[in-house]
This record gives sequence, C-alpha cells and structure tokens, in this order.
Amino acid sequence: MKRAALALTIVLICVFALNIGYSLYLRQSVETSTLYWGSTGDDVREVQRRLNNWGYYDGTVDGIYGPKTFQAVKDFQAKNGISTTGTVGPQTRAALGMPAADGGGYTPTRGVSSRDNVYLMAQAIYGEARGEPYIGQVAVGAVIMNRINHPSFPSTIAGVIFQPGAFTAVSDGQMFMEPDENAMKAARDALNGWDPSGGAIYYYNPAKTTNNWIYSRPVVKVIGKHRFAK
Amino acid sequence: MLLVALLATGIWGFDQYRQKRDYHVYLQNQYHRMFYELIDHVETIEVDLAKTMVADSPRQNMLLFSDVWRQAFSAQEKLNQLPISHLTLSNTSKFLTQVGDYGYSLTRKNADGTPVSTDDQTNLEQLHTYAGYLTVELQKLRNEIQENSISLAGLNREGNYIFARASARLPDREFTRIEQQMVDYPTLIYDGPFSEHIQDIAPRGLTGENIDYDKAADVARDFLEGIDIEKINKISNGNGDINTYGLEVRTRDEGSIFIDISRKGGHVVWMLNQRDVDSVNISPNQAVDTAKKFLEQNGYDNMVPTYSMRYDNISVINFAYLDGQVVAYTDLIKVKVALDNGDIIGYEAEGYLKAHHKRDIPKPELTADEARDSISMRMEVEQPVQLTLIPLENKEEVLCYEFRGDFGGDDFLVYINALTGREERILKLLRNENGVLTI
Repeated sequence: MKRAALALTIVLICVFALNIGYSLYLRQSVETSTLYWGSTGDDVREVQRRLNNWGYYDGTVDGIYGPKTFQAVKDFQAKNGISTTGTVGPQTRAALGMPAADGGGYTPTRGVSSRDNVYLMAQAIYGEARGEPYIGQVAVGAVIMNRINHPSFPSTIAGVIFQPGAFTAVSDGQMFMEPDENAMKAARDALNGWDPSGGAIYYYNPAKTTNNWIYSRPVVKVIGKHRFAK
Repeated sequence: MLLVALLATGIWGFDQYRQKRDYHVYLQNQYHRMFYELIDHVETIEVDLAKTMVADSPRQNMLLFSDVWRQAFSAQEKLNQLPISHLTLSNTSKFLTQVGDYGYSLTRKNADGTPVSTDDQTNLEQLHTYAGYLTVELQKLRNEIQENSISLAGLNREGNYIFARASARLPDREFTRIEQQMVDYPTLIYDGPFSEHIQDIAPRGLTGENIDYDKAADVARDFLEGIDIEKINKISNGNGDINTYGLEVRTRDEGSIFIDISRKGGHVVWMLNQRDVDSVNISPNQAVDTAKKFLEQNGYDNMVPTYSMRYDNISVINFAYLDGQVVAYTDLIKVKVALDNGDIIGYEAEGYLKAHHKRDIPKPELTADEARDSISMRMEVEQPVQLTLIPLENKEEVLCYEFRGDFGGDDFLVYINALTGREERILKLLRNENGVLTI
C-alpha cells in the first residue's frame, strides 16, 4: 500500500515537472523578437509613438528604426534603469507597456460555424410545415428569426424553438425527425435573411386553431394553410 | 399461469409508474429551479436599479448597469422556459428584454464617458418601480406555490387539467394578472436595438407612387427576363414591414418562382426560385460577375460585392451600396446564383429598401494613418483601407475606416470611427470552403 502511494507520488512529481518544463518551453517560443537599428514595421512605429508621447523622441513616426529612435530608446532605458543597449528587448518592451507581438500562444478559431443552427432550424421547419409550399416553409423559419429580434421572445434560435408551448411540433416531439432537402434549403434561406412572412411573429392554421386570442392579431400574409400575423 | 401474467403486468405497471414519477419529479425540479432563479434575478435587478439612484462615479455606474444587463438577460431566459403560455408572459418578457438592453446601452455610454442624463434618471426611476412590482408579485406567487404544494410540471398538460386541482392553474392566472400591470410601463427611448422608436422605423428606401396589381405583375415579368413564364398568380396581399403584392410565377417547365413587389414604387423586395441545382459549371467569380450585371440591369449601378457563401451548388453573394468612396454596409442586397447555368434564383433587398436614402456623408476628421493608431498593435493590417458606413445597434450610421487584418492566423475586420477615432466594432471572418462569413 505504502509502496503504491510512493509510486503514485513519484509519477505525480514527474508529471508536474514535465508540466513546468513544457510551460517554460511554451513561454520561450512565445517570446517576441528584439527590435534594433534597422528594424522596420508596425512594432517600431508603436515604439516611436510611445516614446514620442513621453517626450523621448522628436523624429517622425515612420516605422523605421534609425539613429533618432536609437538615441530615444537609450534615453528611455537610462531613465528607467534598464541597461542602455539601444535595442528593444522583452524588458524594454514591458517598460514601454507594449504587449507581446505575435500571439504565439493563440490558437486560431476552430469549430465555430452557423451549421448547427441550420439543422435545428430545418428540424423545426420540417416538423411544423412539411406539407406546406416551399415559400411557407421559409416563412416559418423567418418567424423564428423575427422572434429573436422581438423583445417579447427569447433571443436565440434554440430559445425560440424550445420555448414551452411555442410550437406544436416541438411540444409533441415531431420535430425530432430528419429534415428533408427542402426543409434544409428553407432553413438556409431564412437564416440568410429571406422573409416571405413580411415580418410576422405568429402563424396559425385556422382549421386547427382553437385559441381565440390569435385571431385578434393582424394578419400580414396567408401562405398555404398558414396565416402569418403580427 | 394467469397469476404469473398478472404478476408480470403488475411489476411492469409499477415500473412504468416509477419511471413516470421520476421524469415528473425531474421536470418539476427543473421548472422550480427556473422559477426561483427568475425571482433572484428580478430581485437583483431591483436592487441594482435602486443603487444607480445614489451611485455617482462612472466606475460604479458601469458595474451596476452591466449587472442589470446580465441579470435581465438571465431572467428573461428563465422566464421563457417556464411552462406558461407565451401569450401570458409577453409583456413581462418584453420588460426584461428592454431593461437588459437599456442596461447595456448605459454601460456603453458610460464607457464612452457620457454621464447619465436626466431622461435616463427618470427612466431608471420608473423601471425601478416596475421591477419592484414584479419582485413583490413573484414573491407572492412563490409563497402560494409553497403553501399549496403546486407543481409547475403539471402546468403544461392542458389535457389533464380537469383532473388537476384548480389551484394548479394558479401560476398561469397570477401571471396573467402581473401581465396586465406590466402593460403600462413607460415607452423607453434609448439607443439599443429593442428601443421602441427603433422597432417602429419606417422603410426609407421606398420611393415612387403606389402601383396596382397589374403593374406589379409587369415588374415581375421585367425582373424575370429570360424566363419562360406560363402564368402569374396573386398569392398574398401583404401588409408587413413593407407592403407588398405576393406573386407566384409559374414557368413552362413547371417550376414556380415566388416574388414580392412593394406597393409603393413597385420595387422587388425578394424573389425565390426553388429549383434544384445539380451541377457546377461556372466558377464563384463568374457568379459574382453575373450577379453584378443582373443588379445593373435592374437599376442598381453602384453595388459592390462584400462576401459570399456557397452551398448546394449555389452561390449567395452579398452586395453593398457604394456611395462615392464609401461602402454603405447599411444598404444590402443579396443575390443567389445557380452555379449550373448562372441563373439568378434568389434576390433579397429588404435591407436596401429599409435603409437606403440620399446621405450627406461627412468628411473624415482623421486620415487612415491616424486611425491606424487606434488599432491594436497585435494585428497585422492589410492595405488598402476602405471607408465604410456601418450601422450601430441603434441603427445610427457611422463613418468608419475598415481595417482588415490578421492575428495568429485568424482574420478580423476592425472599424475605427473616421470622425472620433473610436473603435466601433470588431468582426471576425470565418473562412471555409463555402465562402467567407462574418461574425
């Protein structure tokens, strides 16, 4: 038992050490390049701009590390107790308040897309309006989009679709079918901004609706079996 | 034998009963959590709004307003997950959305250094009163639910409601009563997307005389030039955001195209041709040229393509209006091109028709180089820099320099106000094989 604990501790220490090593390694690779006489670019421009603001530099902010920049950097270093090398290394960079330049620890965006919403929207459209003309399907998607932009409704696609009691096909589980090609197309068109409903936030099928309140809403359009209302 | 069968059924039945009870309890717990959290959020909003009455520093105001924004957002989200009809909740929901939106707008104002105005003060006082009312009513409802052991999970079963105790309908009834009070809260005018005056903006790009249905059919024929039309049916008389005639155009090859024409001026608002596209014969660049030519034929001369998407063998190209040297991202038209033969199979100009008008664009106060100083040094900027007009949340249009740049392998668009140097907006580009999207 004791031996097992000891072994575990050793393993943990190893892992820990590895971690430190790795993070040191990472930190090193993040370190930014040094600026010196002859350097050019936006970083130099930023150094000049900052030195100019603080009165060390009176040349033009042109992004070229010339004699004036060199002298200004040296003055700045002397004033701040940094060894006066005339080059901008990590220490000087930090004293100037400039961020590390290259974002070496940054991972470019992955996996963000609008596709998840297309499928969810298509499911709702298919469940609610699969027998309707194409344009009526796009209009159902448009109502979902219009609700997102309306203060009385939730502010996300999933929020609107899954609001309790909002859509029959969601309440009775019919929406969890695989949507067909047309519903996918309609979902894309609705997400891309096509709005055949004319800005409606409600729709109903007069043959199936018993709710009297909905009849009091001004009807914007009639498409297929659905009335679209505001 | 019979006994075994009976026993088996009994065990099965009991198991079913237990499962049902488990689900019911689970659901009930979820709903009750939503409800209790809703109360917490509304209480915090009330307290935060009260604190803004005495807060004096921008720092404190900013913390309070951003907390109002966060709490209101959460409250609205929880409210809309309760199993209570939307119709019963719509005013309360709207109140919470606007309080949050207003909080956000004030947070932004504070960040810009604008102090809270007297109008804002008055609004905040009134909002506080309503938040207080809502708090008290929700607490009353909570007490009744606790005393009568009402289950919120029973509420969504309309069918069962004769069997349910009458008191189970109480939350619904209570919310209806709360709603009636919430109707009267003041009309809020501020600079957020949910402000009353922004919700009611009239389209600015609709010019010309009213047309009749026959004229609308003519417009459709001209617009669909080159398509063999069999007949045109009138399918709707819209009275939406833009008043339109809705037409269905039947083609000789048995397809149908839907097109909406505005009553005022006879502009095409949108068009959709649902035909399938099975092959790709033209390149995305050719599609852009085709779309641009199509717009020119229809009198839209100064449109520049801004981004595109490709899917299902079609290309959707977004165009913006070029006003002199300035790209107006407010006036947008989308064109959908079939990549098999270059047909225009979709068109959407609602953005353009709502926003387009003759503008007096001011001269920039800053040069592009000066504006460059307002951008993070971490981003590598590409040339050239473009002057643009972008819409803010409050639909205000501001003149900005558009900087395209790269950070760590990701592409960004940064907009710097050409008059004040303020960093107005940052967009991120998503590139994939289907085109470029902005977020």
